[in-house]
Amino acid sequence: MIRLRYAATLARTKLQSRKGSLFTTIAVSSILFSVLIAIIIVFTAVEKSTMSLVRAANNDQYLVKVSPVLPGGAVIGMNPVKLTANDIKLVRDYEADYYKNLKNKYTTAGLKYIEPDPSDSLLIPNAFADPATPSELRYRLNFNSSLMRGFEQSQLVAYSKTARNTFADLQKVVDSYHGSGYYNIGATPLPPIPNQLLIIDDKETFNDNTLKAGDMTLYGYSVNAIHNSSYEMQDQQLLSRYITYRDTSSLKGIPVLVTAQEAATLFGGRMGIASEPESDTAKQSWLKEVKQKLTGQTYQSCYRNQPEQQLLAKIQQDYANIESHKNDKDYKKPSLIYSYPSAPCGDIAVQSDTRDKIEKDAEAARISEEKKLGMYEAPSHRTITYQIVGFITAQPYSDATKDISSYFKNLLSYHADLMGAVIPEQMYQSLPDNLKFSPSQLANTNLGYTDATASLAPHIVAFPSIEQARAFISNEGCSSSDTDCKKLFHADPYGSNYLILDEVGKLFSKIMLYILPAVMILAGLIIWFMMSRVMSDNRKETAVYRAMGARRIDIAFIYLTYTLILSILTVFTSFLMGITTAYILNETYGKQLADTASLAFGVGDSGVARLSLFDVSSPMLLYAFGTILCLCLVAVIQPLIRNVLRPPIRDIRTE
Amino acid sequence: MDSSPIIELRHVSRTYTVGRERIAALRDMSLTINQGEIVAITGPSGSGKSTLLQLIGCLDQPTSGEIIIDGKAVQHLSDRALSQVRRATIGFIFQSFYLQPFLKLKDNIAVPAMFSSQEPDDIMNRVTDLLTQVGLSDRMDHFPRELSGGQIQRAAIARALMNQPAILLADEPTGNLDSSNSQAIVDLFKNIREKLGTTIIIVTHNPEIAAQTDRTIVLKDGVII
Repeated sequence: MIRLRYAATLARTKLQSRKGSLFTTIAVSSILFSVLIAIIIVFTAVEKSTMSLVRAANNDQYLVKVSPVLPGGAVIGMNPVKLTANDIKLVRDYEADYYKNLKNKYTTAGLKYIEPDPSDSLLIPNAFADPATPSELRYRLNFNSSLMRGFEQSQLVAYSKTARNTFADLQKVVDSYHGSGYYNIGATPLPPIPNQLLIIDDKETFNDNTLKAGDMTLYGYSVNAIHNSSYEMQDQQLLSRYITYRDTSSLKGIPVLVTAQEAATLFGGRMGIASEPESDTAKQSWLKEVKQKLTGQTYQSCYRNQPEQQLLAKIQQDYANIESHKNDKDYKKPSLIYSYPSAPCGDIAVQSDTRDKIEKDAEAARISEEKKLGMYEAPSHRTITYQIVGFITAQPYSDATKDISSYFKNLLSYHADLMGAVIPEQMYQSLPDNLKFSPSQLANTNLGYTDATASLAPHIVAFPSIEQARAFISNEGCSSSDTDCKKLFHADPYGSNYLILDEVGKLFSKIMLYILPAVMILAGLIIWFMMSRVMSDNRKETAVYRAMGARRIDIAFIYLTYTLILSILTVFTSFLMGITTAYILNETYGKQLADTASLAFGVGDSGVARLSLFDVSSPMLLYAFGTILCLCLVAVIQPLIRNVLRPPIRDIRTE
Repeated sequence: MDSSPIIELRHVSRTYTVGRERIAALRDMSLTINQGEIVAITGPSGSGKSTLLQLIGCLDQPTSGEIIIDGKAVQHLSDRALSQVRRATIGFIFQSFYLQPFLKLKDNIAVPAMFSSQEPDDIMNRVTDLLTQVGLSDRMDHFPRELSGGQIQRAAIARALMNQPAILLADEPTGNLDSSNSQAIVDLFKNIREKLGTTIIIVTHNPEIAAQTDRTIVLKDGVII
């Protein structure tokens, strides 16, 4: 057979002919392949770096938020507007027990028991009941009843005793999926607004004591968490990516992670921090500045218990009435008027007390009665100090269809089920007692209820792999938005959209399974067409070679060598174009998207992981490389066979 | 000079089918050409000159009859064996030369040897010898477009001699040349025959060229007249 060097010599001559057609073929095929290669490079980079962001955000674990499904919600097992005979009996038994105990308390304390108000009953007639419902069942639950909270608690306690979805049950299930850890979330140890008001510039914000909701989304609440005194405790392990102050020995107050947006709004002005910028790249610098200047920042709030809250409400009401009647000579001011505290979190002083003896005796009797029943709580207040130990970058919900950046941001952004600022549990536990918050003495002391809430509390469960997390979620849980869940647990990915991102990755692989052959076939047709033309044009030359003694295999080898040269040129051009395209995309959009992703994942500029659009490590590239070479060789087979089988005389004769 | 036959045609016919019509290009032709002969084949267009040349050159197979080249019957040989005969025994010179325009002259001359198992150094030595013989040694690194018509034809002759064939088949070798170049080519053929003993068959319309050969075979309607 002809030597390779001679085959190459003769093959190279074909590159000189039909240069325009050759250039077009290589260019068109290379563009098709380069698009494929660029997609592979970009997507591999995005997939890998996104998953490294996911791992960085979740401490190399895949987290699932799990909460037990409580049938019927707060009143477990009941449909509040369609009660069964058993439900009604249960409610009535509860009421009877409650009032019997209450009556005993009064009797024991030597107080006169007053019969309960019927309108405060847990059961009220259901005017909208199905007409076919028997009259003894035409009731619904009265959620305005003062007994309702206690009833709900008793229901939860009863449920917890037979429940199959307690924390202990969850642990058994998770073990079978090789879960690697559990984290506490959801505890709300501090009272919200208005019991706790922020002290800003040495003033309690009495005139700004309502809940702020912003845009009414979780984002709106989370960027007003300090104002709303909305705090949630979470295991510190879940928060490590946000924490910027780790020295627990020098804490000056309750450690808290707040949104960078609210921290900048409340405390950034005097530090020269501007409001949050629009672009994600500028936001990264802004976030860095916020972290530098506001880490360790302390602030205070004033906690006033419920009786003191009632005094404040009375002050507000009295002042409003006095103001509105200032020109009314017949208006009689209240006999007891308090004044606002003169110092932040100061005492509430009496401004004027013109009560007569009867009023004073009635007040004293009320206090005495409450004390005897163990229900009295004196007005009290205390200053609570917080120290900012980290920042969460809240991501507003954006219209994903607005532009590609919004779509990308929405895909990456994990909207944590978080309305408030977060207290790292372990940091909080390390505080000295004087810095901790002590709940009211009258706080719930029902140990059965405490145990029940603990056993049915939500948890974050960690899994070492996506597959295990996915299997657990799909087999054992329903989405938290599924109100008709028939399984034992609600389960959702936590901390990042890793399941969605993983699905997107798998979808890409599936799409590539179709795109790759389609592009290959198209490019193959182009190469086939071109090769057919080249061979057709070179028939006479082939016939001359045959006349000189070339065998069919020599001719085939020349054309295969030619095809190989062509395919190497195509591969080289394709990879050059594809890599260049991906590199340009990375240079043009990479930083912006990396900043967006870093913010979306809350890893900031920590450098642990960054989104990239350029990664050439995918084995698919090798596959593409080999496939292009093979494709060129395959595309030439048919015209080559046709060409070498053609008797040379046919082409010589046409001379 | 050895006068043993190198080419024998025995009752050879070649018929082509064009559409539904069968055209007899050669009819029951018998012919013997001895080694070292220079033979001219002439005749009007369509008389069967080129068909005869292609049959002798093993590019085509007879419809019937027997062709013996250098003592070997070739009409039933495989494609591979025919290639071997063409490579080892026959050198072709085409009217249109068919030099590869993107190969230097030395590579063009070497092409027939590329299909053989000759060593590259031997090939280059042979190329140098041949180009010297045809007076083109100073044009080795030139491309065909840089040569004159006469030089190109001499190069084509050199290429045909590359594998030292026993038979040289020339199809209208002077058809595109002026009379002085044509004469030079005829002189070259004679010189080749003198030095190498090569049998040369020339298809030509030119009676002056035919007159300078050992024998002229005139064809008409597929038969020798």
